[in-house]
Amino acid sequence: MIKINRIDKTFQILKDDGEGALIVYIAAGDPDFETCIAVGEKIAECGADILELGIPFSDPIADGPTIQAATQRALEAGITPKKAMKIASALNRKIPIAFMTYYNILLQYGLELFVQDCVRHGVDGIIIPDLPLEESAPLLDKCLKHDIDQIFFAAPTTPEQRLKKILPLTRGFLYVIALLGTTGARNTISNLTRMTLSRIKRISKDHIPLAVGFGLSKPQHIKEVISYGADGAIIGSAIVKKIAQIDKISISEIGKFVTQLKNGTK
Amino acid sequence: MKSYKYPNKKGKFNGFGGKFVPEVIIPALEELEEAYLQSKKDKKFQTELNFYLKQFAGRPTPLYFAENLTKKCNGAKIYLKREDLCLTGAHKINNTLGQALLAKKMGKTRIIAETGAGQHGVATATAAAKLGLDCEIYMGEEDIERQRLNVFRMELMGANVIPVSSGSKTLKDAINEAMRDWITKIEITHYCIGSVVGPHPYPMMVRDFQSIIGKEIKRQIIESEGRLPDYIIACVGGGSNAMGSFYNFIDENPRLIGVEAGGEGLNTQKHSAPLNIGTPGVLHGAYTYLLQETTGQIKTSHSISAGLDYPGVGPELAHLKTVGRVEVTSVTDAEALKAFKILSETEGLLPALESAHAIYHAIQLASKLDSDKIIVVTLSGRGDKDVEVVSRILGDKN
Repeated sequence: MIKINRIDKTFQILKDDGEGALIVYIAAGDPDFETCIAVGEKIAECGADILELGIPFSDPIADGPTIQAATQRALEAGITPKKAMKIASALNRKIPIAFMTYYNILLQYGLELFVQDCVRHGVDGIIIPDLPLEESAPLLDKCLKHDIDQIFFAAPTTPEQRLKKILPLTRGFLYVIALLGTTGARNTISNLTRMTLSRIKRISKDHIPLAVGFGLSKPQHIKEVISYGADGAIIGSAIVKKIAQIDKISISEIGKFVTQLKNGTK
Repeated sequence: MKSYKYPNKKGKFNGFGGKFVPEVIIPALEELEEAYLQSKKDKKFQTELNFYLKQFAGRPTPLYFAENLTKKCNGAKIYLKREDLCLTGAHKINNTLGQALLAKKMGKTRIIAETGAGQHGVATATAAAKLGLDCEIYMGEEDIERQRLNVFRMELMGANVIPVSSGSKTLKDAINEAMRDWITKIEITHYCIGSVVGPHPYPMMVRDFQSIIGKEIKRQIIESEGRLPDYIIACVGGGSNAMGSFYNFIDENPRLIGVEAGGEGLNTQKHSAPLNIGTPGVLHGAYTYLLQETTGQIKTSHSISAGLDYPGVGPELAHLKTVGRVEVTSVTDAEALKAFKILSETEGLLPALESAHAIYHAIQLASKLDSDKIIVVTLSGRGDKDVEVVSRILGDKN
């Protein structure tokens, strides 16, 4: 039996050690089922603290070109939500896992069944970028019942009143969007990220870990956001770009990159 | 008669609709809803909008008795609501003028839009040129190929047309790309959605801007016939001309019929008929009927008319279909072409291929009905933009 609420524990242990969490995104089934598992294992082995496993959706509106391409590769390789569950099963012993996908995938799977299958396959959390507060009740109900963390977003545009409603609901961590835009590597961390973080921190008062995502691609970025008060950093496109070149880049090179990123959290 | 009051405050039409969008967009949707609801009560705004609709866009459009077509069908009387006579050649301008004025009111300097056939893109570019807004239009590469002339029209009016090469390279992907753009530049940008789709408040707002079609039909048919029609027929892609035509009749007697694109047939994978044979799910911010795999992946739609080529449909139509107030049917590519020819030959009117779907169903229906029945069909656009596509297909056959 896999223990639940591993995401909370991960953040707690890291905090005690004075470290931030490195959360790494990969798309399930990218570039294919077996390679994805091998990459996931390497990522876990090389220092990632939490794995964000994307279940590909045909119309990912919150994602930039890099992750869209990964989604496309995985869909072409025949990935389905059920197969994504199997990938999670193969990886969950090494690392806590949060699924990232779009709401229609869950709706067609069946909300109750999806959350039950998350429990069964050792998935700890669910992140749905097109499921804002207003529409979150049906899934939240199932997640609470089965003790799965539903992870909410806060954006630079989220006003204070709204943050106060989101903060008590999110579990595991709050996904802080670093910028106005879709996912994808950027060269620098904007002022907006710093301001957004400090604004949220003032309200959250450290009751829930804050993990920053969108646009981060280098160890230096991670250092920066941790120094601004984030408890974790989420890296997606920078890793996915390397997976896209898997015929040229070895899995151990991806592992080395993860280790460098992890050093940014210390 | 009970009065129809949808959507509710959450933007739901009896469970359909809603706001399934990334957190970044939510404040902009709230701002838009507030500005829109204020503008409805704002006399100055309404006067300005009416001025543009009348003096600039050419409203009201005629409700035209298609005498020759009626004779040919030898049945019910057929009236055409002549949205093809609007500025830019389709009903789309009713909505873009409203949204562009609203964008200015909200202090936005930039307007973006998606387009399929190019009609909404042209209508947005027109409103933006007139009202002095920067304008960028997302259009699928395949649609750019199908509708080159419209691309040039947009560019002539100063809009930047951005080709979309992701996914099916059509309307669905153009919407994805426009949403991504909006997320990125949300503070200065208004996203002018062209149909009754997307997150709340769009389905409600676009319906309201388009409802002038039905308002005029009501007045005009009473003037010419002294009563309401028995049927109102409109084509349905996202459903803006249909909702615009139907909305003022929901609490009245006329039967309302939405005609979807049957493509190569509903028994094939190549059609755009989610209301006919789709299943409910979430796409582009709303819970509605979709063409999708059982796993939730959205399928690629198909239609000869780019404007109907969309795997989703407005949530309000999903609701009205579910409760039985709107009847739905479909017309294939081949049948739409037939209607295109028939209307051109009998009335000297080239319908848009989108509208030709509605025309075809009207012809079929009229032939079966008595001569004392009245059908109103919304001729949502003119067919000049489709001449190239039609000539290619008909030319091949001849």
